Amino acid sequence: MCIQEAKSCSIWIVFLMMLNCNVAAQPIVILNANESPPYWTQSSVEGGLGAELIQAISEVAGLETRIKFAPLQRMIDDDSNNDLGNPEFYLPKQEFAAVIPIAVSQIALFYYRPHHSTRFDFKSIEELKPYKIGVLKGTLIDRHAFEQMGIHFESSYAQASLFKKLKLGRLDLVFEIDLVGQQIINKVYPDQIANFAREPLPNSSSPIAIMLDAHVPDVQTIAARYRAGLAHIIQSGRYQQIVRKYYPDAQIPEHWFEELQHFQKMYAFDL
Amino acid sequence: MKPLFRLLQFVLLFLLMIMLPTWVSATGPRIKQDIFAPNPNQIYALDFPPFVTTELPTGGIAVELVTNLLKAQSLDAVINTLPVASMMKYYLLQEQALGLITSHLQINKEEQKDLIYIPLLQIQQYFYYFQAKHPEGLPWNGDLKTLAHLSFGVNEHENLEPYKKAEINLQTGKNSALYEKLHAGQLDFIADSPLTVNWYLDKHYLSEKTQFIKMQPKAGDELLYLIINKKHPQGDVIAKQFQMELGKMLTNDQYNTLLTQQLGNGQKLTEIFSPLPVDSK
Repeated sequence: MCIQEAKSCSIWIVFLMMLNCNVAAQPIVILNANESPPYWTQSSVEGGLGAELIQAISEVAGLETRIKFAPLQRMIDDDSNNDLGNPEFYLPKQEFAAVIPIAVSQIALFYYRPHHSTRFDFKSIEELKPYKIGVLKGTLIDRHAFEQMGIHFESSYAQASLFKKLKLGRLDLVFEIDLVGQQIINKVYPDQIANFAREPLPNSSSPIAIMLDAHVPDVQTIAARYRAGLAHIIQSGRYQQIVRKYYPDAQIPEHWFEELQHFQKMYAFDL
Repeated sequence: MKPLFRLLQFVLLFLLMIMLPTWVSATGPRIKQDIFAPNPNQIYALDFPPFVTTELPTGGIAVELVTNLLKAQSLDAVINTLPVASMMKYYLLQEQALGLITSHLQINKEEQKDLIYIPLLQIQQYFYYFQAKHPEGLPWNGDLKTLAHLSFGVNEHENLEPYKKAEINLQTGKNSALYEKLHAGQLDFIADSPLTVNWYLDKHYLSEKTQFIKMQPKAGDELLYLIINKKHPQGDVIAKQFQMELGKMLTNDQYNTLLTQQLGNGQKLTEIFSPLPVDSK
């Protein structure tokens, strides 16, 4: 038996054992998310990419999971709930028994081709100096350091307005979450998709995770079932099917699964 | 009716302006300096406002100090702030990061052999209690035994032995939770730097700030280190450069000048920091 098959078998065995142990009781797990399409949204029946993954994982793990929407600040301030999203927002305040990354988000650099004759291929942040760059308000971590380097960003409150400014030539470049940017272009400029170039940035990934509060009863069993469920839907291809659905080109970004494993290792480390 | 409608519109717009930046930041890209290519020299710092925090443009007092040391030695490195110690340990032990900025790091003696500890700041710590819970104050006189059987909120990564020996009841937790418990009367006292206490009180308990009482004498000092990883290909060399530059800054008083600038508000350096151990020069 090759390593891949052995791995696949072990995932199935663990999964079936867990399912068997828990047929009688289906615990209900409440997870909080904040409205952030296309990952978590109340505006579609499926609830977004993250919500679809959660439901698929829960289905095979024999868990009933309900997603409750709440404002981000309330989720951060509540230190006894379970959260969904980027752990970096919640870890400073809350003790979690388990952080389970289920997906990744990556940043891409967008520009409008008709305004730029050559393809951008930046190697260092300093090369951004001559350009007008747009970012979403509140997302720039090192503003001071960037300004010291002579790089200035123009902030905007709305994601769609960044792309409108790009098309009008008021901005040269926009940093945005790859999937969010693609969906905005698809929605706002469906006949201009080819004119918007995007360069995904490999060193820009963040995890999207299930975070289980330290005081949830039987939390380690629940976490183990989510992990096994996740492994199972990746193995069966259901996971890939869901992710592809959300990318306009139906392509899962390169290195997605490497990044996911990396985050899984990081958050399993002596938490 | 019209003025009322306008007022409502204004209130809604105002609320939207306050809420929107927080809401959108959850789905926005977090832009960092090494976004195009990973910098091989990664330093990770544990969130500890105002010494390490992304909420200050400089990154915090300790981060600004390290940034100056890096600049003076023309070293190219990126400093990342992390929310929990376990993430720092992961980067250090699993990904061979160049270094850490932190005071607490629980790792075994074998792993410590691969690390070079460079003291950056010696931060004075004081005990604080909440006056509503203890209107008569607490009997602290410098001897921990005077606080026996009281509840003390402490970070789990600190050395807890002296408190256990003095029969103090320990409750561990994250900083923000400890402040909440102190305010709620679930703790009798906590220990922190006056700068950190002010930071939390200004943010969360501004109207009750005067009720959080600092006890004299000071509880002790906390050393904040730059910890360099010998397993990083440049670890040994960079550690020597840092030690040399820090020694220079201490000798020519640039160290004190930099810290005084960071403190601002005419705050005296000697009220916040103790001198670094002698062998730091």
